Amino acid sequence: MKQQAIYGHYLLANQSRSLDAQARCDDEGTIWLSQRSSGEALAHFSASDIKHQPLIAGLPAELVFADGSRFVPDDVNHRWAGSSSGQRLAEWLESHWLGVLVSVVAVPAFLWFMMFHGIPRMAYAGVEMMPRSVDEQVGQQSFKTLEYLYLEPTKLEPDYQQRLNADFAELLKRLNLPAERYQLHFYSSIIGANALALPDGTIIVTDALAKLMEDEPQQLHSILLHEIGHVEHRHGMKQLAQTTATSFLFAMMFGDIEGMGELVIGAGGSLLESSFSRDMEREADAYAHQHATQAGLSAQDFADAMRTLGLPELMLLGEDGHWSDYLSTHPGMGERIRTAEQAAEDENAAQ
Amino acid sequence: MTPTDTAALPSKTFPVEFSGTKAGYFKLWFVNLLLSILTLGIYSAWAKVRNNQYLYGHTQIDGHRLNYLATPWQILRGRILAILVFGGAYLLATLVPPIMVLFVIGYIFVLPWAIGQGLRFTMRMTSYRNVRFSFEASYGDLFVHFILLPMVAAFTLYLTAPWIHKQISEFLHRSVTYGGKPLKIKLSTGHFYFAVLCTLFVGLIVGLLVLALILLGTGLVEMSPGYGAAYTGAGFILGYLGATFCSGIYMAMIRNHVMNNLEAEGLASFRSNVEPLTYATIAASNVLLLMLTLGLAFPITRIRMLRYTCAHTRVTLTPAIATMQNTVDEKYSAFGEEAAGLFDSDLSLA
Ligand SMILES: [Zn+2]
Repeated sequence: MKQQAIYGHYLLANQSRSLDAQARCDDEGTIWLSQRSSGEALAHFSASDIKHQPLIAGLPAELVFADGSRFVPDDVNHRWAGSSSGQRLAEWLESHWLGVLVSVVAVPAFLWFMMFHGIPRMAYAGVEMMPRSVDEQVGQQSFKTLEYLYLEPTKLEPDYQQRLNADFAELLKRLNLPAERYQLHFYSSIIGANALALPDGTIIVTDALAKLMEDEPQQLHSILLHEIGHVEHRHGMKQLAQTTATSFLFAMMFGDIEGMGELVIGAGGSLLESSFSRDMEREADAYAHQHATQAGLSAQDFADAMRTLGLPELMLLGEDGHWSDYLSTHPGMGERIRTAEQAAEDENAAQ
Repeated sequence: MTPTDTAALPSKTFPVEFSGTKAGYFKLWFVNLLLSILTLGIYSAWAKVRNNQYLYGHTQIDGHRLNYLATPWQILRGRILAILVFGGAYLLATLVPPIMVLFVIGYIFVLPWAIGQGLRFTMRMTSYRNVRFSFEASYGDLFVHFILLPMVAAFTLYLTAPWIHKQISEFLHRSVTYGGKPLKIKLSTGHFYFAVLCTLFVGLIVGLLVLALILLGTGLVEMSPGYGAAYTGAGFILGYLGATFCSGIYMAMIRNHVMNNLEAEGLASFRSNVEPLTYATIAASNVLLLMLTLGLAFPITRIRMLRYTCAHTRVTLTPAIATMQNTVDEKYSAFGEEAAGLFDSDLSLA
């Protein structure tokens, strides 16, 4: 038994000729096409020779046949029994506000999860699997760039440099860390009183920082301890992995959706980077507090160092190449001092 | 019917009917955005196809809809290949920095090819009455029009830019074929310079207006300090809206000129009577909408503009339109288009 006739155009294979036609579908799913006016038979195709075109709201459900001819129903609401459930689902979602509503809730939730849990975890796990030799390669590259852009030869007294180098070697010895992994460098730089750690174990102390803490060596040592924390946690590599993964993911997710691309990638990327960087600073601070006693220091020294840094210039201690932007890459100074002093109290309680 | 039979019949003029709605397209776009994000971008190939199918399918001339024929798998394969090639090149450049020089030179030579492949793919995936369009241009022509001529524009302080835009526009349109027949176009250089002059004139007026508003704003800011940043931001937004408005004037004038001088010989001719001021107003208000909604109004801005341009476009078809043969294969790689997309040079015609 053939079902009701569906009116439409029949477009012949590889031709622009169009015939007013009607299509009837029988119980086996075969489509029978005939001229609308004369009723003369045109062609018929069994179900396996019919390709259902994607269903889009407000558009007719077109059929493409094995020979390349095409049937376009006049009624935009007609849907064939043979169309797949996946296609119907896509159309249903796209044409109901419920789908939009679900999106409004699900998109931010998913993005939040990826940005603060998914990507950092993947980046961490990825870096843990990477050999340390990669860190050295990357570190040397970024050292060259940094040297070229921001660093000038140091103007510190050779005596003082020697003293600091000896202190640093002593620090490494107390922490049981391999001395060959680390190199301490002094540079004069426009970035002010600051210290930086690179993935290959290069630690850079600016002249301004060294001078600022010339009379308080333990404070400078506590900052070196914080930088060692960055290297031991491989933060440089993790940040690199995380930035790469984020930009790749965002490009995949939004790259193709016109109008969204640059906007989301720009805003999301920088927000994410600074939040990730704040977490790493906390982790490096925690490393410094945990190893303070072993290094012959106290967490209180770190708190004092933060105060020393905070007083002369209202600038946050910044390293890793970027200092305080509008979106801070570092936790607030107050928070860092409080955490350090809490750690110092715990030290005292333990003794 | 043969072409000789149909030659005697009269041509008919049809409007370009666009039936897409703001709500309808918004829903489709937004749900596809969600699915793309949830699948970490894999679904974006499906999203691209469905977005295009919606916009093409809702465009009708003489009762026949445009079709977008690319399949998601085609797009996905092309995209993965493009990412592998670019990712490999990027990785190589990071590990061996000197190779960068080679890539920059290579980029200049690969870019015209990628643009050509991209346009070819887009055109081949477009059909009207079951016959596909195509874009056929030699590498030499692509190199001249996308590398050499833009360089000439820079060297002549952009004084030749209108002429160069005319050359590129002519080249792009005459390279389009329908059923194997290339389109014909003859543009006038004078009209391009005239459009620039009109745009500059409007730009002068808009510029003075923006300046007046900024001066007014300065007075207000002096009375209430602390709003400096917001005020600077507002100044930038005003400037950007003004620039969009001016470029809208130019685009509308060029669109009319191009469409009115374009024909598929013996098949079709076009008429466009877009009002430059209206077009520019829509363009500028669209940008404002996008800013206010952080990009979420994108589908609505798209429909607003398409509705307006379609309503001001007419196509005259001869009966020979029913006698065309398709000359384009179905199989075609999307690599070129995706590569062109990664080069950030998504070009579109008209
Ligand atoms: Zn740090």
